Amino acid sequence: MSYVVMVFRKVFGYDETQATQHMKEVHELGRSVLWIGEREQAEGYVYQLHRWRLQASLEKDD
Amino acid sequence: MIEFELQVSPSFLETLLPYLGKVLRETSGRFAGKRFAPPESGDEDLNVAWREGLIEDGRADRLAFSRLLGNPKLALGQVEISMDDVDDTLRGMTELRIHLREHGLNSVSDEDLENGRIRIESLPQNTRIAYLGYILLAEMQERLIHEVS
Repeated sequence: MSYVVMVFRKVFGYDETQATQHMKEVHELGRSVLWIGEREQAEGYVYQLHRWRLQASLEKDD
Repeated sequence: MIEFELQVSPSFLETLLPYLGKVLRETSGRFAGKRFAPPESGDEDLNVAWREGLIEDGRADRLAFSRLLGNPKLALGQVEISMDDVDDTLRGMTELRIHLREHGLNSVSDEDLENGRIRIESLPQNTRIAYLGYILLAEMQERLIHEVS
């Protein structure tokens, strides 16, 4: 689990508490909304998560 | 340079390190395209760049991990990784763990794997070595993350 926390910290700049909270959401719910914003930047984040071999996808915000 | 020692018997490593080297070679040239597909955009250039970028990055990650495996000190439980190699090595280990999970350990449930509630002696030989390799990689990752954080 520390791997996932580390990646969230590196990619999004989250502190330990935020990153751990997202990791727990992923663990318990199977997913976590990690970031909301412009598509281009979101694509960059998804690429970085894939680079770290974590599954991630984009969803359009309604 | 990051240095730490694994609390693992040399005989254990004597079996597992060559096995991980074999798995590393098996993953070479493979790419889980579906798992890491680019977001739908209709932009074929983006799709190609995404896929090729991940393949190229994965190559660097496997190379970093192969440097660790090739260090004779590892057979004695001594892990040495240059700071420049830390991220690539961590990713290389993750790629191997994913491969082991999907191939050698596909008969083991996520819950059992996560809780460590597995009776090693009850596993078939192929699953047993995959499980031990998976655990060794997890231990090395945890220690490495601890050392750099």
